[in-house]
Amino acid sequence: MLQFYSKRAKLVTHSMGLIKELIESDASNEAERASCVLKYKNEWEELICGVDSLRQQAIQGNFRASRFRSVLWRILLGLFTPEKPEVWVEEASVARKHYRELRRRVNQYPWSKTLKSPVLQPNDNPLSQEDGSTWNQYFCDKELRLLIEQDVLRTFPGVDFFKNKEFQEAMVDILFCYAREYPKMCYRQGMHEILAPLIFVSHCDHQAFSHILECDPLSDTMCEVLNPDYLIEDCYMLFTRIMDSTAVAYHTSDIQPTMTGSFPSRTESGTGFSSDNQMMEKLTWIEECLLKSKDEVLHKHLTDMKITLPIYGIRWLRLLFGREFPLQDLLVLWDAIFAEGSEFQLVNYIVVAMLLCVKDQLLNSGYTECMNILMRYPPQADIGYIIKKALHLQNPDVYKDPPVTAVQLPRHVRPEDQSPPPSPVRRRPQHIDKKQNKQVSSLANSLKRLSTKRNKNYSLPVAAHSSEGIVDGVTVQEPAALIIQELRENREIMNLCRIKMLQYKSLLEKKTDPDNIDVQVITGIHELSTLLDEKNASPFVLSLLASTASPSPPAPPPKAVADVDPAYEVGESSRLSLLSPTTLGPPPTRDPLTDKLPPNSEVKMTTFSETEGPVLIDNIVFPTSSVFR
Amino acid sequence: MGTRDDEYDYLFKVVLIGDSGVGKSNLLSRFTRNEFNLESKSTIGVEFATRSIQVDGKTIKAQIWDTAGQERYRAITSAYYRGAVGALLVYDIAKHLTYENVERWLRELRDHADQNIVIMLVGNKSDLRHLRAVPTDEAKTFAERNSLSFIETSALDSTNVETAFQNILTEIYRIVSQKQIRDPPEGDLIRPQNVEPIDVKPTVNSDSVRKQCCQ
Repeated sequence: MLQFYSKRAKLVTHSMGLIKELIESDASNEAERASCVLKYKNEWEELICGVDSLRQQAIQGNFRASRFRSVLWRILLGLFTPEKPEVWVEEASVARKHYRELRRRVNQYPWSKTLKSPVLQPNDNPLSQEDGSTWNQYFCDKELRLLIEQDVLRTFPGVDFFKNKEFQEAMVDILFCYAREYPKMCYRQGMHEILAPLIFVSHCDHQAFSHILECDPLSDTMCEVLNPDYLIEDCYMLFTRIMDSTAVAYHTSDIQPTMTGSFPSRTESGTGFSSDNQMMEKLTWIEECLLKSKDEVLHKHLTDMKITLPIYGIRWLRLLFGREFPLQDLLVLWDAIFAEGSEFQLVNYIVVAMLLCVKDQLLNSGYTECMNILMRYPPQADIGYIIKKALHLQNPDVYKDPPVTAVQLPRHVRPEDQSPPPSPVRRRPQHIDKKQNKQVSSLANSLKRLSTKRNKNYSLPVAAHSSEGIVDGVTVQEPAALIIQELRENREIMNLCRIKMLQYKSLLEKKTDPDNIDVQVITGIHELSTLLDEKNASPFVLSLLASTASPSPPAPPPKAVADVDPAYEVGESSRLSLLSPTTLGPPPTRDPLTDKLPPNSEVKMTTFSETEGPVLIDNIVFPTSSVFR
Repeated sequence: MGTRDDEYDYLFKVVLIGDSGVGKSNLLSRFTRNEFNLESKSTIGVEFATRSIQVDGKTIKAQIWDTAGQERYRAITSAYYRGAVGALLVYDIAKHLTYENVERWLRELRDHADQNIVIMLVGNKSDLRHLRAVPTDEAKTFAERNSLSFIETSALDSTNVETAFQNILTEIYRIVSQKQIRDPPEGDLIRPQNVEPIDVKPTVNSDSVRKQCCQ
């Protein structure tokens, strides 16, 4: 009995403790919640300021972590009158009504009519193929929906969000209604990937809204504009507006898609393919006017190899670069595109900026390599730099040329990724939050990229000079090269971890009372991140990494038994080193007659012999401080 | 640094054509990097990959182009077919419509590709045995009637994918090397300095001349 009571007393004390904890955490949660709501409301207020200021902020990438992007885009695209939130509700409601009516109109079921008057009309029955037949329309609709569905199911296969059946159905609905409202455009492959980010952005905004609404009442305008019930309607509104300005990339004036969404392979005149194509004109203009005037050498290099812009540029323009950048970067890019000109003029300059960004790699590459770079744009590209460069190209008087170093350094040593100085416990100003958010997302991407890449074959600057064996489509490289690659990747991961830790630290700092015990934890995190700092690595490791990344003379390539150039999915990491300084400098001149391939035995890790550190060529000798021991 | 561009004896450009969703991109990824994605993104514009194989001790580099199935990107059609010496015309054995459209694709080839292009009809997704909608014999007869080679593949379980590419590349190699023996080139055609694929000119060899009509 005594035992029973003591057990029970323990239980009570324990529960009391729990309750106390709960109450305390409740109090602190309350404060946290209030600051959260306030921040959210402030963010909304920012939207109401002048449209010029919004545009400026958008092109500077300040909305990277915005929770009102779907509203911001509607303002930038002219769907909402800037600075007048009182009319947004009305503007949204008109668009919503329009979509609901459209959906009702295009979803007619012929049997409902037949049920009313059971006598089948000669030109309107399930077998009639005439244009006016509701039955014919019904079967065409069904086929078109299947066609759309085929692509919708394949939208961003790596992102779970798009596997959700509800969103998939929403996408099919929107694309189908669009095809019927704009029969000349109909549905074309690629539209689904313009729509997908819109659904994603709207849904995220709705989530944030619902979350805040649970804590605190919000204004009627906000409730109406961000009403999650209208996800489809609001996305349709945005989608049609964006398609308006992207139509050139989809529309061909002399080919009319059929009702089922297929395209006749020849024009009516029977001449096959006409040159009357706005898309082609646009691409040619970008290539011949913009690129040629900005960089004649690069233009000549590509045209000499017959790698013309249409080959890779169609996808860039059709998807507004959707497959060239990770989603988080893409949204920032779209912010800038929507902010700069109602006809998305910035797009043309982004194409040129993207080419200039990889100029050195392109000039140093032959046909296959160039095609690979352009078809699978290097994922390390810095979106901020590309936007700044594009703005400069478009308007050099207003925007100055961004410093080149930003893209040519590998991501982990870029200045912006350096650790912030250890700071006392205090709140950080708003703009730093945004920058940090940027890092969080790009870090997540980098980590993901690294982890997927680790399971695949490695590729690094020395790869071109090392001997390779090919096993069924997989490249196996020199073990020493692999070790360095491994080392480099580990260091990159370490660096990412360090930055993440610093971010968590600053997050905690904001939420913590300076006198609290948690400060110890924060200090601990800071200490750990300092331990992980790159500068603390042994000099040998640094010299080893530096040497493999430095330009090496064009060593004679070994004869490959069977050469496999790995092909990558769009957006997949291809070459970690692509943007490293390795490929800087003039392209090696090659005499085609004397460029004989050496036998295998001649091939050495010549890149090692160039290093100044204590490294030998064949028998690699490591100093005592080496991490390899 | 582009050095691999030079490491081959022959460079052949092969295009993949066929309706949307028949598995062209997966045939490409299976052949070039032994990968398959059940849900791969739909191709927008063109995709491109290369792989080298050995035939008769010669290194043959295949430059394979893959395009969107839904519509012809007219702006790139000429670039797509320019210099192509082989075409894999793919349909889905489980979707009859994709097989019916084969004729349409043949017409497109006739309109835009070199008349001597080597064409192989490929019935993909042969793993979907229980859903088969196109009998093997029917497709085989059709292929014979139109002087196409024929194979059924599965990019999913990799059945015949290697064989399909090996066969078409070997066939092209035979035609090109025979032509070179008969009619030696003036320049160094075997190791071209630029990457323009070898152009298969019309020959007098009646075996390799394709029928003009495929109806």
